[in-house]
Amino acid sequence: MSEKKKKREENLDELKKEITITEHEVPIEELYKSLDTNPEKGLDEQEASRRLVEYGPNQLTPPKNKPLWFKFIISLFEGFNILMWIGSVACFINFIIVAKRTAETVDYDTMWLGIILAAVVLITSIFTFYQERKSQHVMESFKKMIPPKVTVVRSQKMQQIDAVDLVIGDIVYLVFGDKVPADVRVIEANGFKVDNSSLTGENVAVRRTPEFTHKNPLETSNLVFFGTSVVEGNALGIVILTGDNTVMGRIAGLTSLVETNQTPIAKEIKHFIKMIGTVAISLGLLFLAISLYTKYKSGTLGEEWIDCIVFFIGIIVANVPEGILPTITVCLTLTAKRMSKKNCLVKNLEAVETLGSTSTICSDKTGTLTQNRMTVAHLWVNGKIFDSEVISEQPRNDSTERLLRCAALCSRAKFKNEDWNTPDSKRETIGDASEVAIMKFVNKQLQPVNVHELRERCRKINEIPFNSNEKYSVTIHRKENGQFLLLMKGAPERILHRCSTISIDGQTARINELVKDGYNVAYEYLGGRGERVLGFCEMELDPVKFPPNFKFDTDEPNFPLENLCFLGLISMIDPPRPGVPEAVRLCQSAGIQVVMVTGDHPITAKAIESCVSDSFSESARQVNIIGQPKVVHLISLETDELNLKQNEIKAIVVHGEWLNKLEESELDFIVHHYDQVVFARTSPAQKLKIVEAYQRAGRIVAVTGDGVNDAPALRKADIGIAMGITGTEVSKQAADMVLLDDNFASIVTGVEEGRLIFDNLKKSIAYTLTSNIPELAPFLTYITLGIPLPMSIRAILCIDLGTDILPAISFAYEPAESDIMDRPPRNPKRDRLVNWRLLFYSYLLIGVFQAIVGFSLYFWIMAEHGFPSYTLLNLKDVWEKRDLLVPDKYNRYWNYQDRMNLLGVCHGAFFYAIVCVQWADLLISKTRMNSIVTQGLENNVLNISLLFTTLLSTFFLFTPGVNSILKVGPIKLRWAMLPVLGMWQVFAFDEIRRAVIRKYPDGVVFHTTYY
Amino acid sequence: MSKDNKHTEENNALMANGHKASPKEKDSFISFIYNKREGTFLGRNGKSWVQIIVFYIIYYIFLGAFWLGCLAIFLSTIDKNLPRYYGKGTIIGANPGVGYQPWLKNNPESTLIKFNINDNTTYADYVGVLENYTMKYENETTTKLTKLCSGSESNSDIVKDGKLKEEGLKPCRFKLDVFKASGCSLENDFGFPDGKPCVILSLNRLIDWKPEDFADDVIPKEIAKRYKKGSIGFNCDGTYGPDKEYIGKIEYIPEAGIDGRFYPYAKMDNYHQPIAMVKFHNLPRNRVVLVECRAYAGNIEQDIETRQGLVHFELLVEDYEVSTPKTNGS
Repeated sequence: MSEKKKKREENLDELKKEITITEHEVPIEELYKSLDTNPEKGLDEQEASRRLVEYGPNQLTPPKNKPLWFKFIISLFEGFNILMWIGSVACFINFIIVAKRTAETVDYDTMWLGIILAAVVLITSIFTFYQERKSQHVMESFKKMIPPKVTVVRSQKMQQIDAVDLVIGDIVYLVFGDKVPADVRVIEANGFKVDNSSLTGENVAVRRTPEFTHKNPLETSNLVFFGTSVVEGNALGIVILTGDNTVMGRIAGLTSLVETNQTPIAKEIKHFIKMIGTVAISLGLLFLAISLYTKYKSGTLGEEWIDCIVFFIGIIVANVPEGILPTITVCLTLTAKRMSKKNCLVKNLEAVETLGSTSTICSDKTGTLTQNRMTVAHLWVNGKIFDSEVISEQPRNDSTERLLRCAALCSRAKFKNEDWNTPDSKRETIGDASEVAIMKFVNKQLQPVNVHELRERCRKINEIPFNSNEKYSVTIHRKENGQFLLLMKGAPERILHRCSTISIDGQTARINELVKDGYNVAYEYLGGRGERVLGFCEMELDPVKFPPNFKFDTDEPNFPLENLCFLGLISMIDPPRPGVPEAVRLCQSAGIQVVMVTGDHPITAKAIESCVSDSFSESARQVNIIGQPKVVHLISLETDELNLKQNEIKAIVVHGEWLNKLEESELDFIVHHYDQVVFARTSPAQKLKIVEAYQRAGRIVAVTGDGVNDAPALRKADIGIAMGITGTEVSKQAADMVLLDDNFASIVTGVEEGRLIFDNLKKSIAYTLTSNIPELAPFLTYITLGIPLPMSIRAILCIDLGTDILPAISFAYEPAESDIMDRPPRNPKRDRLVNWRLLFYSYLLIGVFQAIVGFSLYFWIMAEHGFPSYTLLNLKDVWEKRDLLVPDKYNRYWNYQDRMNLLGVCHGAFFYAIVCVQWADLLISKTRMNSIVTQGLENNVLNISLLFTTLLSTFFLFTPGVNSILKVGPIKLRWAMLPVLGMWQVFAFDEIRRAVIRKYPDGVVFHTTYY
Repeated sequence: MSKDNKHTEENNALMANGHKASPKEKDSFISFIYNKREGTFLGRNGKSWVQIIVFYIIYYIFLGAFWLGCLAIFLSTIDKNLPRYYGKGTIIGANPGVGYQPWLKNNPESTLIKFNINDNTTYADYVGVLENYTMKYENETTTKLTKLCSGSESNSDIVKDGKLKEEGLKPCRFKLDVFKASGCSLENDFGFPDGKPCVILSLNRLIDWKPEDFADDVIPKEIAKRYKKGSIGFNCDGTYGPDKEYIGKIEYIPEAGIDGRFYPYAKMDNYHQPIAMVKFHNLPRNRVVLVECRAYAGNIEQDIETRQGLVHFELLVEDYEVSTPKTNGS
């Protein structure tokens, strides 16, 4: 075990070290040489296919899974199956020994029982296995991530090939819209921009050129990576790494090595199996010992020890709820299906419940909480701030028009689709997110003119693209009258710096202190709201100085860039998705902590958080943290604790840079003491650290993510949630669940479903376990009192695998008892799926009740046939002898066959008694607290299952042939009335019990029976 | 934004992964059974246990009382002399099984009658059983409560609908004279010492059942010669081929089998169960013979599967010289 672990860790380290690429450093000629390729000719076909064989296809190998048959074999020995195997083997041993002893009259009963037990294990295992496989199959459809076709130069020809066949040294041609098919070094570029968000999570287009600019492969300008997408321009490149060797491939590989935790429900099931197993084995052994002792005392141990084994089998079979694991699987599957209708695709069945146990959600900001769509929020023009929603209702003046014109023209954003009739929101666009936002906004404001027409009117002559040093971009246009117009857009403070005048109310005024103050107030206000602010200014160039044939030089600007006229500010924000604030509120009322992890600036992050969550305190302790990242021990634990008590400030913003400097204990402190935490400026990989901190605090953590770098955190989380639309393949593979609509609100429905299924599984188990006692008690009385066996193993299996199954499954459809989103998430240490109280309730309260009803019926039937209860004591030895006649109370002699027929009737009656009282049990298990009157009978599946159970038991009891195989006799109507009485009694009793619990929520009855 | 920083950070974070395995708190089973710190036993403290026990005791007392009461009421409705279910269509049915004696109660599983004609200890038990079984027919106290039936007198006279017509009516007395005359009595130890054992055959008592006669043309050939109307005929033979060969002469006492006047049976104090005997005259020595005896009447069906109307047992007669130490032992 530890050896294996060590090896894993070594593997992990190796994978981490390997992240060194040097191909981008060497001169390009040298690279051609070493890769034996040529930018014009490309590889020839033979060489390409040789390399394909050598390096393998260009795709990510899915994480290695154990072979299917191996998994299946393992599942054969999971849980209760071991007990069942023991039972089955014991049956065969018993059969062989008995068969050897009595050669002529071989009794095949035990052999059949052995076969049936083995078959039960096989069938339930196959079923469970199939269900789990099926839900995994859904994921196969996500396999395709790389573009199916890619343009390469091979054998001197430009051709399209499958991206899978791409090899190192191939020359590839990339155009906007493509996904980068491998790790590629750029040879030629033409306005080439890529979006690395699938790798880094940062949704910004970055320029890529043939120059080597940085040693770090992720930073250098001349590399593009597998899985990222081309957003602008085109390029020619040389493939340097393919498939699993790519950066993305390695991260994916690393992800598969991150250890995952057992899901909470798996832990619960394990705990449950442990409990039932303990009860089954200890009872089995106890009664094995008792029966062996009685045999020993009567001196018949030598011949009859084998009978003791039969009891042992009986006790185990009675104790093991054979149908419960398939039932749980089905319940989870049904919920998973329901969730996928609500846009939560569940990859791993058990994750269905995990979401319900979740106490912390670490959510991305971008795309999950927000729409991932920059939208213009405010304008500052004419010295006033306007909301973008109401600006069109405001009277326009020349200043506003000029600002809009500037915004429309000074932009590189474009609509892909030239059809101006489709609404803007549905049209695909090219360009930077904020430019697109402005373009869409302006396009709406300019109506009836559109951006395109305006641009046609004022043709762009030249431009200076945005540059991070100067932080502005400039465009020069020729107006219809031939005059040139210079437009500038950029960081507001830089823009203002270059302006001497400002356009207000259609007038041009000089910028004075008053104007500057107004500007500062507006800028700070907008910035404080976390909005991205851009400034705009223009200058109409003097037609004398700049005649129509003037040549503008953008490298050595031969035109003015100072003393421009300031037009205004436009601010943008990525607004919260509709429904998200409500969803967050729901989470908080459900006791789930929502932690925002974002790459954004703390102010933006805070703004979004307070936008999304009402209670996020404005006084969050962000300032002192962001301000002084150098002081490591910022949170002195004592004073902070004091602060917490005094101010009740439970919100904090943690800066990513700062996060790295925090010690583990400090992070733990934050995790423990703050209700609302925002991690800003974090890299996706820091999520792992955050997740681990929350898990240390005993939280069950859900993590959302879409980038490849998120994958380790998704894996580490108790439930990783990937984004269906923006998410990368690797993140989807690492996740347990995929949000098909990328919407945080979908998580909340998931939480609700998860909690519901936990409650309902509890009820389902309580229902199923109850019948264990009436199944077990006959064997116990058989051994201790020596009465003829009142209930057969066959009949037990009829209940466990027949009549109990559908009702147990129908609990999956049971509506919630109370508002499950109003209570805190369950404590995984205390609120178990199955606890001793549930066992007490099921076994000792209702189970014993059922057993008593069953025994009453048994004794009654026996008495009506001439065997009053007292004559039954210690009758079993005589009763089971084939060649004996047994006298009854009327001195009639019963031969073996008649006795067995009578017993068959008793078994049938006992079976029916259990089925009947299980009816009541089903109805009372619908609620744990409420009356059935409040709960209602709306669960039609459950209602149908009642009918089904009745029909099935009738089928078992009365169909000729079936009842002889099952060895259950048909019963008379008069006998059937007795369990009906018991049924009503159980029903009434439990209604009263729950009424008492409601009346005295902390009383004895609650503490002894509420599960 | 400084991108350099960012990616090194990421790598660091990736590296940091995997070394964070903090020791997990383990639920120890022992601490569950008895937790000293919290004073809990099996997860509950003393007060809680008292509550739970009291709760369940009260619950069980009520539950038990109710159902015992129910059961008592149900059982009181059952006639003590007439079972609720008898005759055709019930489990016990209207087709009697056959029983045999001597059958040893201390070895109930065995249907083998095995003895050594040279050693009286080997058959003493069998003789004892037969003696016991036949004693009730001659016991003064019971014979007093029966009457001698002759002519057309039979138990039908006193039984109606499975019950005695009235309390105190006397059933027919069964007499052993015919067996004595044929050498099947205690006087000759039921033929055991001679190696010619007598075996008692009887029909299982069924309420309201009496034999029906065969029509003249359907009398089974096995009993055709000995058949008498109103009786239940018996025929014994070896179960399998070799047994049939070795079984030798069988004498039926009485020839016609059981007289039908002793039927029908009803629950009464002194019913004399009618019997017939078979005497095996020349059984092979030191060899097991499997015997099958069938009962014949118009309303008896023989069915090997359900063992109705017939009985199986085995006979083994030995004649080894008895060594002295063995006899000493007993």
